[in-house]
Amino acid sequence: MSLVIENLSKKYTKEKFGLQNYSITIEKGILGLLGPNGAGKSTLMKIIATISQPTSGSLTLDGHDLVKEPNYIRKVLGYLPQDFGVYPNLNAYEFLEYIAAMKGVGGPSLKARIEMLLEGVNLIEVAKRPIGTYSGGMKQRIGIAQALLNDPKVLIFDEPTVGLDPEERVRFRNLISDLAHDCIIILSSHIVSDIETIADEVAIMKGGLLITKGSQHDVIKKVEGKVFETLIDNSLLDEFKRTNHVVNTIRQKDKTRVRYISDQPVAESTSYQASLEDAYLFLTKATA
Amino acid sequence: MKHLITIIKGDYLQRTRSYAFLVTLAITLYMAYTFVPPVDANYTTVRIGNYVGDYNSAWIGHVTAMMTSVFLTLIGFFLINNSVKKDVETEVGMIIATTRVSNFNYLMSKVLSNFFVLLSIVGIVLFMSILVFFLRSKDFPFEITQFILPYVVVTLPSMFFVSCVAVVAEVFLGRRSVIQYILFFALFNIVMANVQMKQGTEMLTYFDPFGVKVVTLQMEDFVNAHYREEVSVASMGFVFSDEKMISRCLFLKAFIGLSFLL
Repeated sequence: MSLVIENLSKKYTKEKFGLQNYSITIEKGILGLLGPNGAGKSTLMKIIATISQPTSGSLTLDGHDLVKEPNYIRKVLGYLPQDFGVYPNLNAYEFLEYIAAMKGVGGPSLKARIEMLLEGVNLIEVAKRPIGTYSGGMKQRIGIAQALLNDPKVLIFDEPTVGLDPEERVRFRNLISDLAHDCIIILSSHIVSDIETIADEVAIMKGGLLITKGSQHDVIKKVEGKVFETLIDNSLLDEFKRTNHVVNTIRQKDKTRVRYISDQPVAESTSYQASLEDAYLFLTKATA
Repeated sequence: MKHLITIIKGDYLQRTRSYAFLVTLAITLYMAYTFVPPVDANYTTVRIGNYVGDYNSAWIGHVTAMMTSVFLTLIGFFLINNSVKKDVETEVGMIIATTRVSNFNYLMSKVLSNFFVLLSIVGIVLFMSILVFFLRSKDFPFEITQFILPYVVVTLPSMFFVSCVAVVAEVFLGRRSVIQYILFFALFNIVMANVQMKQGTEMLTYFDPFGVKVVTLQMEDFVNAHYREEVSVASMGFVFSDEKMISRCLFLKAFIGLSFLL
């Protein structure tokens, strides 16, 4: 299974682009989309989910043009939008049955599948309560369950971990990891740690452009040997920030511990192992 | 087909469990109680010239069915005219857009769930009208068919009509709810004006989506034939008056048959 995107553009107005000449090939496994707000992550996901149409470019799944044949992906698609809403007066069973019917999923095994998914997202005990009484995190988990109803081969999660507590985050990551063996999973977030722990590949976006795509190792390699930490006086911090790519600061009494990326480290700096977050912050700032 | 039923069921449950539904139901029930005024009340709801019917099953069945048709069309529209908009607002529509359900099936499910929401209210009002019969009528036998027939022939088609109009309005006018309400209110008034015009002076004789004109015309013919009158106008709605010149007449059977539906 291969999703090929070539020169995809989405133009909102004459000068405002959601995506610009975006090309990427997505194979089985988990692709993490990283980018600041407005990077075009949701736009890309909506186009792949066939909700939105591109202004130009092509989008194919196993050779099938998804603009002309949207149903080809729809039958194998699970999608969780960024601001997922619910029918508050239905309980979890009723809501999932409703969405299953929309997806054309039914039959005697549906009830068992719904129960399995509710177990998976840890909602089985409250499944008979109206969804309107759920917390934000619980609603998000219902959203995850509905995306998995039709045993999808392409899964799109737009900011799926928003509102989830740390324990739920781990549960979600485990669930996704189990599914990743035989389907394409596209996961967007601006929380690097969410992507870092589960994504096989990472695509970093900014301003509708693809900055880089590759395995985490390949992306991190771009800043390898360039990550340093040093202690500087608080009074010099602003000046330091102006002249270096600072990725993190920790205040310590009169001094500040600064983590930065540079080809030429300042004196008394210590070299550190680069992380995906370093690479992400460096790459998105470098293209500013 | 099974999927369509599940979709309609989900939509129906979501909406009938809302406060808006309960408020509409409560208002409609109260209004239904007033559709058949006490004999000494200073208002009428359906009047044929200067005649109102004796409180037998046929009269109460027809009056409550016609009044429900008109009244519930008006307030029912405001209850159901948000089914597509809600899907857009909650972004449930975003998920639906990624499924293989066709636009036609989606809109059909909305029309049918609208219809069943209104049908639920109509069912309860029908029950209420039977209670009112036992409360107001003393000298006439209870005949269930005289209640069911006018509801099936007059009220249900008008509920289906308004269910379709609500979805069409949402499709063509999107989230511009105020414009939809104004246009529907204008349409409602045009229809009501047409219904209440004298025989032969109507703008459009067959423009009667509430199904009440056909009934009032037959009531007028009945009064003219049996009481040697020349009545050519019927009034519908809450008409208050102190005059005690209203005559009673005896309508014995349903004015309409199922063939009317065709």
